[in-house]
Amino acid sequence: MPFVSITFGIVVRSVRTHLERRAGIGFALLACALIAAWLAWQPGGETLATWIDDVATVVAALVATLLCVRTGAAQRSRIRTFWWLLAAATGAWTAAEIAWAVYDLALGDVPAVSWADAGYLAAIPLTAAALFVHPALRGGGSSRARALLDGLAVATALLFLSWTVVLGPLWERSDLSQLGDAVALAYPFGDGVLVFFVVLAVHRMTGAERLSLALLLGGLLAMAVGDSAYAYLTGVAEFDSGGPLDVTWIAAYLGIGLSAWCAAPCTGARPRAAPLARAAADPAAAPLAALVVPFVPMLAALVVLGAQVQLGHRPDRPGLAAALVLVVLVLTRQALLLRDLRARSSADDPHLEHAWS
Amino acid sequence: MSALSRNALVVALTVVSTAIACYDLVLLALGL
Repeated sequence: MPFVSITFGIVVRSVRTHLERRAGIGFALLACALIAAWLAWQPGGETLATWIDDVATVVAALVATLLCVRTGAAQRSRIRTFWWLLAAATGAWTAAEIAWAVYDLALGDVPAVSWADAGYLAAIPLTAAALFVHPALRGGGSSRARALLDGLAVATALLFLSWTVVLGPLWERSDLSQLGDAVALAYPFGDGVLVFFVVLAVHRMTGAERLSLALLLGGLLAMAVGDSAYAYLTGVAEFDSGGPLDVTWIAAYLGIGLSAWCAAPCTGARPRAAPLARAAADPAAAPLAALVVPFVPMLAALVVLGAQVQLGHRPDRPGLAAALVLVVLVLTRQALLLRDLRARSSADDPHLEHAWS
Repeated sequence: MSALSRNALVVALTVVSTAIACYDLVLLALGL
């Protein structure tokens, strides 16, 4: 009988955890959709939309901070440091959002460079530090070099796309002697670094931790989109708080919060083995998304580059440098893959598919 | 998705990305 009751308890807890995750994701999606709709149509006027926007952003950042603190407090393993550092980063973002709201709502104008920027910029190295200590990025493995190349290629591809579409034209127009423009441009580059680390971590994850990191990746990608658009609109002096674009930052904070929300129940009970070690032991368990996702930005950037050159638009010097680095990274990655395949074939490895992970 | 189709998908993506990367490299080299 004790066995039956313990099994029943595990099943109930598992179902409850699953439902809590679904509910959290559903709530975040609904909140983003409602706020985006409100900011797009502004039924109560522009002032009310600005208030809703600024307050909702602060609340989303605060919720993310509290969830990261809660998850960090529940951990007993090395991943606790990751959550504490991420909590510090979201705390910096919260402080920055509060400062932004005070400037925007109480003072009526947000300076080009303000105390809010100090918080935003401080959050980037804190998040990078958090990802650096994540168990998924520690240790070794046979495909470690390829994972590193994948991450670098993805970051370079995003940088190339961002430069071609947004930053390059902006760079030509902006006066870099102005600190505000330089600060606005710093955000997309910082986001690129963060996305690089998360892609590296997602590549290494298997099992339940994958959902948590995927949500973090989604949040940081939303932030990258928002920051790139902000950099562009600041450059052409058209950014105005209270527009639909602001929902990208709310989605970013909710994504980070959801990452903590989904991690808490599955890792809080007991220490878990390092995901990297498990992935190295069973690379075939690597999820399909982890295999396919790195190709998406790579292919997009390669196609854009080819089309651009074919149409006679030669990339400028930074764009050309990013393009060449991208092509070299992709070809090096494929060469390493071929080498691994040949080594595994000669060893007559029955698990040949591991080479593709 | 079976292991076979999963491998086929990743092989296809690898081949396509390699082909486009080589094509881009040739275009850039000719442009230089």
